Amino acid sequence: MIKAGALTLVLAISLIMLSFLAAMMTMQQYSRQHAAEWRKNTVLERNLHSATQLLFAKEFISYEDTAWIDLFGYGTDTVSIIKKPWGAYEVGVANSYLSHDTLSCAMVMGTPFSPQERYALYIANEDRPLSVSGNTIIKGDAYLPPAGIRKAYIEGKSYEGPDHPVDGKIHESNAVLPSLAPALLNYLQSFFDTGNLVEPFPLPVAGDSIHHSFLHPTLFIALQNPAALSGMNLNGNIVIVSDSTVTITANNALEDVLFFAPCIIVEEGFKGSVQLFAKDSILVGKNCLLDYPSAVGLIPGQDDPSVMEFSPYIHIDSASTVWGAVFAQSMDSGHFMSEIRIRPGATVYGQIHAEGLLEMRGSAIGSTRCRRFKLQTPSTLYENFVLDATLNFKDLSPDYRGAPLLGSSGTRTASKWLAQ
Amino acid sequence: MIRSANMKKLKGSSLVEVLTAMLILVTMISLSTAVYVRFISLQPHKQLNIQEELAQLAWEVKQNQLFDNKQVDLHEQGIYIRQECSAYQDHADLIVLSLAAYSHRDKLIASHHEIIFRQDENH
Repeated sequence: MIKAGALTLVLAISLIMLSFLAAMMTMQQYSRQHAAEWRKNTVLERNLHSATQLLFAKEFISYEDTAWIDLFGYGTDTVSIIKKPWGAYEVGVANSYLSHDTLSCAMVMGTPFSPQERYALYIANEDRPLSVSGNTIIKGDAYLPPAGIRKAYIEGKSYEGPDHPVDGKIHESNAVLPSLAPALLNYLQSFFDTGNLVEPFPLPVAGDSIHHSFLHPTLFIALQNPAALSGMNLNGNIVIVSDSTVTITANNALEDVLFFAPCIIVEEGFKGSVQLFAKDSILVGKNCLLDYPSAVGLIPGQDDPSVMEFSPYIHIDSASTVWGAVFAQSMDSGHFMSEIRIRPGATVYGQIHAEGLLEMRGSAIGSTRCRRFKLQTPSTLYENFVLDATLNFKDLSPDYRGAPLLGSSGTRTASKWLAQ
Repeated sequence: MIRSANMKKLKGSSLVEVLTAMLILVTMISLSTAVYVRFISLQPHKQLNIQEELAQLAWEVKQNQLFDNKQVDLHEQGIYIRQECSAYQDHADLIVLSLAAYSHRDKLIASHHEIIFRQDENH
C-alpha cells in the first residue's frame, strides 16, 4: 500500500539519485580529463623517446643544427633535436611538443666500442718489439708491431705474469694510430682562442653555486690570470676558459664542467666530473676521482712555440681514478712528443690515446693505444718497455660507452642523463 | 459505498500524485541507465588499458628486435591489433613501429607510433 505523501517521498529519493548521478558524472568528467592528460603525457614521452632515437642514429643530424621533425607525418607529433659537441663527448637535446605542452631531455652521448675497437692494447708499428716485465697483465686483444712482444728483465725484475703475456688475440698494428675525430678536435682547439668568447661570465666568488641547464646556451667563464677555483659548486652547461694556469682545489663540487687552459692542476683529493683540456700540461694529484664522463686531454697547438721547448704532458698521480678518456695529441716530427704518465696505483677506466709516449705504471681498464711506451727509472730511460702495468679490456663493463672523440662508431647511446 | 471509494483512493495521496511520482521514478531510472551507458560503461580507463597493451607490445618488439608486420586477434577484449614496421626515411637503423587496436567493427580504438633504434650485435 502506498503511504501518504508519495510524491514528496519520490521527490526526496529523486533528489538523492540526482545528487548521486551528478557526483558520478563529475567524477567521470575528472576521470576523462585525467585520461586525456595521461594520453597527452604518454604521447609526449613516446615522441621524446623517438626523438632521442633519432639523435643516436648515424649521421642523422650535424653539430649545432636544430632539426624540427614531424615524426609520423600526421602533423601532430612534432619534435626538435639538437646535437652539440661537449668536450670529448656529445650532448643531445630533444624536445617533444603537443598542444601547449613541451617535454625536454638532455643527455651526454657516448659511443659503443665497435668490434675493431675492442682491444686492450694498440701500439703503433715502429718496427720494434714491446718488452714487458714485472707483473704486467694484458687482458684482451692486442695490436702489436710484427716484432711482437717479449719478456724482459729490467730494474732487477723479471717478467712474473702468465706464460703468454697477452690473454687474447694478437693482431698486427699499423704505423699510425687510429685518429681522433677531426670535427670534435677542431671544436676543442677553437676554445684556446679566448677572443672567440661571446660575453663571458665573471668567475663566481668562493662558496657560490651555478647550475646551468643544457637546454640553454652554454655559459662561458673567462679567466685572464692564474686562478684557483676554491669552494665552488658549478654544475651543468658551463665552460671555463683561461689564458693561464688554472688550479682546481679539492673543496670544489664540479659536475659536467669543461676547462680549457694552457696548464691545469687538480689538487689532491678532488672528486667530480670534469673535462680538462690543456695545451701544455695537466696534473691530476693523488687520490683524485674524476667521475664518468670525464676527460683529460692534451691538445698542443701546431703553432705554439712552447711545444718546441718541452714535452707537453698529462700526469695522473697515484691512487687517482679517471672514468672516461685520457688522450694526448702530438704534433708532427720536429716538436717534442707529448706524454701521458699514469703513476703506480692510478687507474683509468675507459680509453687512453697517446699519440706520443705513454708511461704506464698503473692500470687501464679499457682500451689503450699509444705510439710508444716509455719507462723512466732513476737511472735509465727505456723505450717500449712496460713494468708492472695492467692493460685490461675484458674487465670493462659491456655497458661502458666511450668518448666519440676516440671512437669510430657512428651510432650513439645515452651515457648520462643531464639535470635540467 | 463510501468505504469502497476510500479503498480505491490511496490514503493521503491523489492518483495524480502517485502517477507523477511513478513518472519521476521512471525518468530517474532511465536517466540512471543513460548515465551508466554513456559515462560508466564506456569508461576511459578501458581505452587506457588498450593503450597500455599497445605500449607493452611495443616494448616486446623493441626487446626482441622483431620488426615484422602482423595482426593479433584479442578475442577476450573484442579487439585486434595490427603491427606494422618500416624503415624511417632512408635510415636503415631506425624503425617506425605502428600499432593500432581496432574493434571487430574495424573502428580504431587506440594507436601507438614509435621510432625504435635497430640495435646491432655491438650494443
